[in-house]
Amino acid sequence: MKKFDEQIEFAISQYLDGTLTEDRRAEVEGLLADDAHLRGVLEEHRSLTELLRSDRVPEVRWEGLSKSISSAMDLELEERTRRASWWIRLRGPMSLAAAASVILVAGISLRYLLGPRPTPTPNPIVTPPQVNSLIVQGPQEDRPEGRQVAEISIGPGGSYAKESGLAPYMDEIDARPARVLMASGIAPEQPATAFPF
Amino acid sequence: MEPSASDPVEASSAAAPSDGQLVGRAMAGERRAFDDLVRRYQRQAVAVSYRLLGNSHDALEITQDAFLKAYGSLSTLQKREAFGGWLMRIVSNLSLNYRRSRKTRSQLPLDDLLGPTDAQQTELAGGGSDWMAAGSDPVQRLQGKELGERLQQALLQLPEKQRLAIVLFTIEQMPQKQVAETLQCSVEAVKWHVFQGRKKLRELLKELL
Repeated sequence: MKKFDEQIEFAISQYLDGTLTEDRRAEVEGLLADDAHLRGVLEEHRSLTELLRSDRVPEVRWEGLSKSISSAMDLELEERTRRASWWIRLRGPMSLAAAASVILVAGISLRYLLGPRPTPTPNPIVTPPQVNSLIVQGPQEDRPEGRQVAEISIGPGGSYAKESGLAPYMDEIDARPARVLMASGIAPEQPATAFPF
Repeated sequence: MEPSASDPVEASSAAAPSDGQLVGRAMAGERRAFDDLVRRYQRQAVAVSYRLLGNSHDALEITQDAFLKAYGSLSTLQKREAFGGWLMRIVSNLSLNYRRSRKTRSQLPLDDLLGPTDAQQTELAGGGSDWMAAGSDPVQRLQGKELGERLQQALLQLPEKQRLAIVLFTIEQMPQKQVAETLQCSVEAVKWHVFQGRKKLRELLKELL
């Protein structure tokens, strides 16, 4: 309801300002004709507008003000001209300095590009190409202490593992020892009663 | 019940050169063309600044600064015909910033440009409003001054956009399109700001209506 009232009041405000379309104006006039409260709202808006407009602007000697503004602009223009003349005066030496710098840089560059090349030394020292190496440390092979009787290969390692068919298992294969060495007899320093395994 | 005209009379008459023509000539270096623009808009500029600041001396300084700034920035004005709205935007911004900082420069003495009663009243009021200061009856003048101060106080309580919309459209009767250019918003938004401002002022000034 409050929102509805606000919309009507907004329309009344626009009606007062004469900014409504013809249809909308007729609609508002219909509402005003039927509702004394809305007519009161319109009157309050109208009184407020008149009150605000009655607050007069100070008396000013307008011709004097425009002359004062004109004088201030003259001062501003004078100041700008002074700044510009400094720039013009500076511009001569500054452009000379800039031109001299460009010539200097160009001369050095040309001398570098067109000047005599350094002669190559007869026996240049050839440095060997640097080789990147990777050292991988792993567990040492356990060698049996007794006489070696058999050697069992338990899986491909090394070059076998690089075969394309075994590539998916390469990690597992490389993690295992490639062979097992078996020895017979008891190590001399071990006691006779000791179970061999 | 006849509603008032939406867009009041233009500042320039049909015979006078348009704002766009004067701006073009001023940009070409013709100082007199800009003087014509000053004469055309100085009253509006002083009025807007005065209603935003409530002090005639400050309003004169702001007006002078605004014209200087406008002259220095003419090349940045995109639509030459929109000079009025653009100038009022400069006046409004300078006035609102002045209120915040209370700092400005004065290149030339401006007090002697005010009418004698205005200058006295400004001094007496300590920078307050001098509403109807030129009235012959002292009682009436005092009442008018008090009323002016009440209006100024009420206006100062509005948010900036609403205050500007009320000052430019309702009080100064600038065309809504020009107000929209000044506030950099749509015409519909101007209508809404005017309405909201009026609603608040109705509450604040209830006993005077």
